[in-house]
Formats: sequence, C-alpha cells, structure tokens
Amino acid sequence: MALSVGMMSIGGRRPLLTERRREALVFLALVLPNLLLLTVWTYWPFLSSLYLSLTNWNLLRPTRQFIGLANYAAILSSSRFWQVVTNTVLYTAGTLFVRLALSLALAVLLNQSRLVLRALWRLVVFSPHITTSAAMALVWLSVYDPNHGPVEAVFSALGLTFPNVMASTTLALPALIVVGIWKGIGFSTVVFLAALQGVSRELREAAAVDGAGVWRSFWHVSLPAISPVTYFLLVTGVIDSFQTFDLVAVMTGGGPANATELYVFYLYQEAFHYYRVGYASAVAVLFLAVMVGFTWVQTRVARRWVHYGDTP
Amino acid sequence: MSNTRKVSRRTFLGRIAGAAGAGALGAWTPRPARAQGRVNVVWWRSLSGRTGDAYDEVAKRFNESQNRVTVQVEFQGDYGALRDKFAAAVVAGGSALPDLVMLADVIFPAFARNNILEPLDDLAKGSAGVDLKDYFGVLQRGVVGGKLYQFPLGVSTPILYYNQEAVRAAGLNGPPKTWDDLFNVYLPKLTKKEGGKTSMYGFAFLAFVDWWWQQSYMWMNGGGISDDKWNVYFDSPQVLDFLTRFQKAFQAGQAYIPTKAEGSPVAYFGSGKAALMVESTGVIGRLTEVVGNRFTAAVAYLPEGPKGRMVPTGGNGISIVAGRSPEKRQAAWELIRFSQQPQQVVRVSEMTGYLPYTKAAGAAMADLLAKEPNRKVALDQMAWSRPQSSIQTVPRAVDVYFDALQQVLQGGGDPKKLMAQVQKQVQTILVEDGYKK
Amino acid sequence: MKPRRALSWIGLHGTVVLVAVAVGFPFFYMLTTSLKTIAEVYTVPLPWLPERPEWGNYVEAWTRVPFGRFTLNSLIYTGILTLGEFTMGLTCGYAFARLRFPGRDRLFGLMLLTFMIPGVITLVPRFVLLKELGWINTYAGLIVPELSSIFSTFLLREHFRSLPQDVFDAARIDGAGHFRQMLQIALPMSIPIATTLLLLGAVAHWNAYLWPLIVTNTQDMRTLPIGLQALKYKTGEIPQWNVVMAGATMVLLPLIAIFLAAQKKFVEGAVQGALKG
Repeated sequence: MALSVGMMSIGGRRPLLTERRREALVFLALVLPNLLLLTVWTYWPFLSSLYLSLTNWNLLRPTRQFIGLANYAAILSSSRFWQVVTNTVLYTAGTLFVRLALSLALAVLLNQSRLVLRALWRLVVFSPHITTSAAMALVWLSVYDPNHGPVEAVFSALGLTFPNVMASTTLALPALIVVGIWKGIGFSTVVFLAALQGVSRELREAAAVDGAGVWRSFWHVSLPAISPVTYFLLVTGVIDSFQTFDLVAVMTGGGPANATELYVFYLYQEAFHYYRVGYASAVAVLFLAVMVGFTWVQTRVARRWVHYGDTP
Repeated sequence: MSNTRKVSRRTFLGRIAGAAGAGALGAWTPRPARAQGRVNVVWWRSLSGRTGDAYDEVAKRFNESQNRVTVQVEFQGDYGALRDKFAAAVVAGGSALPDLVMLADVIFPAFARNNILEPLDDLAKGSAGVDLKDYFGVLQRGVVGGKLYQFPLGVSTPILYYNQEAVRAAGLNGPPKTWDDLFNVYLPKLTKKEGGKTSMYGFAFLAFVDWWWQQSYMWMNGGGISDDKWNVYFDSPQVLDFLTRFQKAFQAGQAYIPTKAEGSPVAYFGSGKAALMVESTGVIGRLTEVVGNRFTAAVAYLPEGPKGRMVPTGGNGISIVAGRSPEKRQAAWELIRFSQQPQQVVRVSEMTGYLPYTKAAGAAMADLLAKEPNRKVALDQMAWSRPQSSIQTVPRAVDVYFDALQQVLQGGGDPKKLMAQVQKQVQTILVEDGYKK
Repeated sequence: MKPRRALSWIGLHGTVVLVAVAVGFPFFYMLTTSLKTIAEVYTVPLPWLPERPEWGNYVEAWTRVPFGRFTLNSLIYTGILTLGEFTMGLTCGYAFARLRFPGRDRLFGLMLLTFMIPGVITLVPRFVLLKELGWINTYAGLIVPELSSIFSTFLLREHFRSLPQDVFDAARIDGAGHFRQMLQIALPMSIPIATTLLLLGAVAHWNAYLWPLIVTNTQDMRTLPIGLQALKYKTGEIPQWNVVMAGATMVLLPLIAIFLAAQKKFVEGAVQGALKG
C-alpha cells in the first residue's frame, strides 16, 4: 500500500515520498504528540516560572507588576522561609539516614540463606510503598491519637503517658519522620536486597579466603560493591523527601506553629491559599536551584566513594 | 507581556481543544437543576449544626414566599473553608462563582477591596431597599472604602460559658468577674487532675484562626493590636502580658486548645472536659444539643479588666458577588432584603444565639429575651461592644500572629522574642500587600 | 542443629518477624478499626479486635460523602492517564529506537533534560495556564498536563533497541509499515516491561494527591485520596475513625489487589529503576 505509492515516480524524477522521508513523517507522527505536550506543559511552565517569579502577581487582585528580584529578597529575609528550610532539611535527614541504615540492615537479614518465607517478608515490608499516602496519613493520625490510639494504649499499659505528638511543636516533626520512614523502608530494602544478591560470589569468597570475618567482609567488600545503589537511593531519597506534601497536608497542615511546614507545602500555601503566584514561583525557582546544586555536589562527592564496575 | 492578548489567544485555543473531544468530557461539570421560570441564585454559606440550619430555613421561607427567585444554599464548611473555596472560585472564574456569599466579618474586606464583591448602596437605598436607620450601628461593619458591601446576618460577641455544677463543686460563687479572678482563683480551683494528667481543664480555648476574643483582654488592659492607620502593636506590654499569663495557664495544665482530631471547643466543653469556655454568642442555640443532660451550661459576661469591659463584635454577613448579570443581581438582592426583615432576624436569633441587630427585630424578640437568661446576657453585653481591630482583615498577617499564639501556648516559646518577630513580619506584610506605604 | 546456630536462627527470624509486624501494624489497625463500633473506637483501654465485624461502616463511608463519585473520578483519571502515558511512551520510545530522523539522538537528549525538571516548578504556571484555558476543575485540566511521558519513553526505547533486527526485517519484507511493526511486533515482545510500566503508572496515578488537589475545587470533581479527607470532617465534631478507616480501606483495595496479583512486577520495577540509575 504505502510502498507502492512511494515507488511511483513521475518521469525520471525521484519519488516524492522516499522511504526515508516516509520514515521521517512517521517519526514525527509518533513523537510530536508527546513533544508537544512536554513543551506546553513542562518546558514552557519552567520558563514561565522564571518570569512569574519576577512579578508580584496575586490571582485575587486585578493588576500585576514586574518587580525584579524583590520576591527573592523577601523570601531570603523571611524567618518563616528559613524555618521551612530547616524543617525540610531535618525531615529529610531524619527520614533518609535512619531509613537507609534500617533498610540496609534489613536487607542483610533478608539476604541470609537460612531465612524461610523470604518472599513473604519482602512483600510485607514493601507494601507501604504502594499505598496512598493521603489515606495512610489518616491511619497514622488515628494511630497517634493521644487518648484513644494504639500507641497510647501500649504506653498506658507500661505506665507511661503518651504525649499529644501532633500538637507538640517539638514532637510533631519526629512523628512525621516515623511515618516517612515507614512509607519508604520497603523500597530501599528491596533495592538493597537485590544489590546484595548481586554482589558476586567470587568477591565474597575471595574475601573469606583472605581471612576477612563477616563484618570486615561486609564493610570492605559488600558495601563498596553496592555503593552505586546506595548513591542512587541517597540522591533520589533526598529529592523525594524534599517534595513531601501529602503527609503534611493531611496530618498537620504545617502546624503546630509551622513546626511541620515543609517546602512544597509552604509553596502550596503561598500559591493556592494566598494566591501569591509571583512569590510562589520564586519559591519554586529556589527549590530547583537547590535540587540542581545538590545533585551537582553529590555527583562530585560520589566519585570519592562510589565504586562502579563490581556489580553486574 | 500584554496580559489581555494572551488571554484571548488562549481562550481561543481552549475553545478549540474544548470542542475536540477531550474538552467535551473535560469541560463538563454538573450544574444545579433550574427551577421552572424562576431565576436561580446560588448562595454559599458557612456554619454547621443548628446554627447553619437557621439560614437554610431563611432560604426556604424566601423560596416559598414568592415565585420569581429560587435560592439554592450550599454549605461550604467553616469560615476558613468557605474563604478558601470562594477564593478558588474567584480564581477559576466563570460559572464556578456563586451569586451570594456569606463571609465572616473580617474576611469579606479583603475581597471587597479587590472588587470581587458588589457595592450594595444603590440597591439598599432604592425603591426596594431597606431602612438603613433601623440598624444598631452594626451596618458600619459592612462598609469598606466608603461603600457598603455586606449586610449583617449573624452578629455576635465572644462570651463566657461555664459549667454551673463544676463551678459550684469547686466552692466558687458564680462565674469569674475579672481576668485576675479567672487566672488566680478559678483556673487553679476548676482544673482537676488524675495521676498527672488533666481530666478536666479550667478553660478551653476558642480555637479560631485569629485573635477574636483576645482583643478584649488587650483593650481591657489599655492596649490593642492595631489601629485605623494600620499601626500594629504586637510588641506592646499588654500583648506580652496576655501571652505570658495564658502561657503559664497552659503549661500548668489549666487551659487547653483541643486539636482538630479531638473536636471543636464546643464539643469539648459539652462533653465536660473543660469547665469554662469562651465562644461566640452564636452557639447558644447549640448548647442543649451538645451538652445534653451532662450538666447545666450558663452564660456570663467576659471577665472585666482594669480599664473596664470591652468586647469585639463578630459574626458574618451576606454579600453579592461582583459581575453578576443585572437579573441575577436583582434576584440576589431580594434574598438579602428578605433576610433583613424582623421575622427572619428573630427566627435566626431564636435558633442560634446570634443577636437581633435591628430595632424592629429587637422589639419583636423582647419576650424571648425575657424568658431565656442566657440570651439576655448576650444581648446586654452588646452595650460594651466595639468593632474588631483593622489588622484582623489582613489574612496573611492574621496567620502570622495566630501561629505565634500557638507557638507560645503549645510550644512554650518566648513571647517577647516571638512578638518582636511578629511585629516585623506584619509590618512587612502590610507594605507588601499595599495597606501601608 | 548446634545450639548456637539454633539461637542465631531464632534471632534472625525473630527480628524479621518483629520488623514485619511493625511495618504491617498500621494495616492491621486500619482493618480492625474499620470494623469496630464507634463505642469501641473510643473505649479505653483500646480493644484490639472488634467484637463483631461492623460492615455497616463501609456503607456509611460510601454514603456519607459522594464516595461513588470520587471513585468514578479516580477511575477516569487513573485509567485515561495510565493508558495515555503508556501510549506516549510506546510511540515515542519506538520512534526513537527504531526510526531514523536527522538529529534524532540530540532530540532525545533534549527530551531527557526534562527529567531534571521537578514537578514542583511547573505547578504554578500550569495552574495559570489552566485558568486561562478555563480548564480548572475539569477532567481535561486534570489529565492533559500529566499525559506526557519521559520515564516510559526512556525505558521502552531501551527495550526496543535491544530487540533483534531480523524480526523487523522479516516483517518489513512481508509488507508491514511502521505502525504495524510497532503494534504487532515490538509491543507483543514487550509484555513484561509494558505490564510493569502500566502497573507502576496506575498505582502512581491512583495515589496522586497534590495535582488533583490543585486542579479541582469542588467535591464532585475530586478523586479518592482527596475525597477521603472529607470523610474525616463529615463524621461530626468528634471524628468517627471507624468510618474513616473503612473509607481508607476501600481506597487501598484496588491497590492491594493489583499488588498481590503482581507483586513480583512491582519489586522488579523498583529494582530495575534503581540498578539502571
């Protein structure tokens, strides 16, 4: 069908639709929808963000003006902004390091050949990963109930009082960190497990022959061998944690007294509660800058401790 | 970059896309059914429980009393939730907007200033208007920039509710008369502890989003939080004194703000977990529903301070949204006019605890007021009422000082340091949002 | 077994069981609470199991808020978006893998750059764009901006590149055009990865919270994760956790079903992504 049309030639001229040109047309037909969508809904918004951040546009007000870098100046001198940044860094550090340490330990346990029902344990541990954050956040809210929840019941049985964590400016963020760890531990455990299983037997056997004990073998052989995976989990973990929104929105609304206000929630409040889209865009641009900067730093630091080439 | 050119190009593209299938499904949102031949207007309101029912009744009576207009009432949550939904509708524009909206007295000004609400002066003075002289001065509340944007619906003041049995059992004779009484005598005596945990608090805090009743304390001690020229006084001694005193009460386990998960202060008080509560007079009508047979709830004036007694007005009102067609605008006005009639004001007052705000309504309610002492107290307290501080109408500022309150009370923060910060932040906000130069 | 080995075997399994219990506890709590009466929810000390399963809570959760409507919205959003995104990945991935085009690889590289743009920075401008289009609170506004795909494109391209050339040559000789080659050759040979992508996509979209929250502003357009929150407030001033938990369970049900049926795929998906990254 298409072939015969293409092969048709008029006089001695080259056919209009050569094989190559047809292929190019098909290529465009297949690629353009996606590219168009990306351009309109991702590329252009990215550029638009930069422009909006230089205006004082408020969607509830009739006019807007170009104000240069005034938004950035306001943000960087706002104590509220720095509190949000601190909260987010604390949350990320708390969730990530604890989670990675725990999941690595757990992966080691699950990697033991003596373990029965490995698939079952892996299933249970992984399950929080696929759940709806917004739904589990409600469950955790009930779990943390200071008068009628299960945690309180256990505390009471032990003769202790369980404080009202959700209303405490010092305990609310740690309470969220616990939920963050719970949600993410499955993913990192499963990934670590796969990585550990991939550490070639030759490497481990060589270490054993060299007289290395279990601990030294782990520290000097397995860990470096899985360092690419650790690096991946670290980088993606930071980017993910920094974008936490659901937990905050459902469990605390940023409170009490901004103690649990994390970056994306802060942006959401400014953009969709106060409708200060100019200001919020500046907040978003700063976020991008931090993420890019962080990734860049990590890439350079990674050269020092990430060993490629050992893991298949 | 010209904004208008962009809009028309995009709306054009939008229409094309809209027509192309995805939009056909996409642009569809269900619309309310239209009553035959009548003009349909949508009214968004707040207030749950019996208080809200009162307004549904006003709308129902309106619909039944004539056949030109049908009002469709939609409950949108509490004042904060309604404010959010209304702002979202303003931003989305078009058919998302209601025709009428009930907004809290301190929330509507920000919208009025941005021409989102319709000025009502000519409608009020017209042939089908209302008698503006009949109002107890509360009409001034609805004026912004010299124009009237809101008619009152619910007018209240904060008042003290107390558990009569608990007070008596603590050996006290009636409610506290001054703030000093409250802090030095009542809170220690009324707070009951069991094994280190408080089982009954002396005082449950009205957990609204701003410093409504707290303004009283400042005023009664000779201070305040702001004035008409947008000067703010958050670092003044009266504010610091207020915060320090309340912080002590919270830390001693004598006072409490129930969390969202625990339910509102009304429910908290009603279940006997607190002996005293400051809340709006607007919940008087819900007392029996919430308290039941557990105890006798009574009402008293807010405690007095050294400079006398002063309470802020509060509540809500009704406005017409700007940009309605002339037909809808007129129809919406008819509901407002109906709601201001004495019978309606009285009926709402009966069902809630909101106060009659016109002389005609006040006269019609004289009997009821004589019969129910709680309501009489509420009405009498109006003699000491004054309008709220200007800063209460700036939402970003309110969030700042309300958060600070939480930090002081629940986080044990240093009032002096926090208020210095708040003072600076609020002043920045006033400049950023164009209130002050 | 020597006593030392027996002890360490017990230690190992004991620890793992403990961890599994800790991780699984919120699910257990959610399920048991969803079947309690409101009195049991507020009884102190807390009963671990309900006396009798109170299935009425599920009916209550369904009717107290427009649960059916939320479910419909979630199904439409998840369904169209998952299929749409996959289709984009399929067509784009195939084109970049097996078709020639001048500057193709550079174009692909440019596309990959968008991977670096975090969704956060597109939120506000997208909203403004939706506002200008009049698409706020509509299905179009919910779905279209999210329809583009980079992750699926990337993975499918890699996969298609690895397919043996001779199968395609044979098909071409038989007269199959590119579309047919894509649909009848490439796709059937990609069932495993396609399934993984579809599953991961479906789960991610079912669970989406921030984006639908921004785009929708009336209850009749909201999806389940958002609608579920309404249940907490609608149950009165003192939250009825039993009803809320029933609602949460219903939201998780489809996920649990897919997860149990295809757990290997999820784990594989996670691992693939990590090891390739």
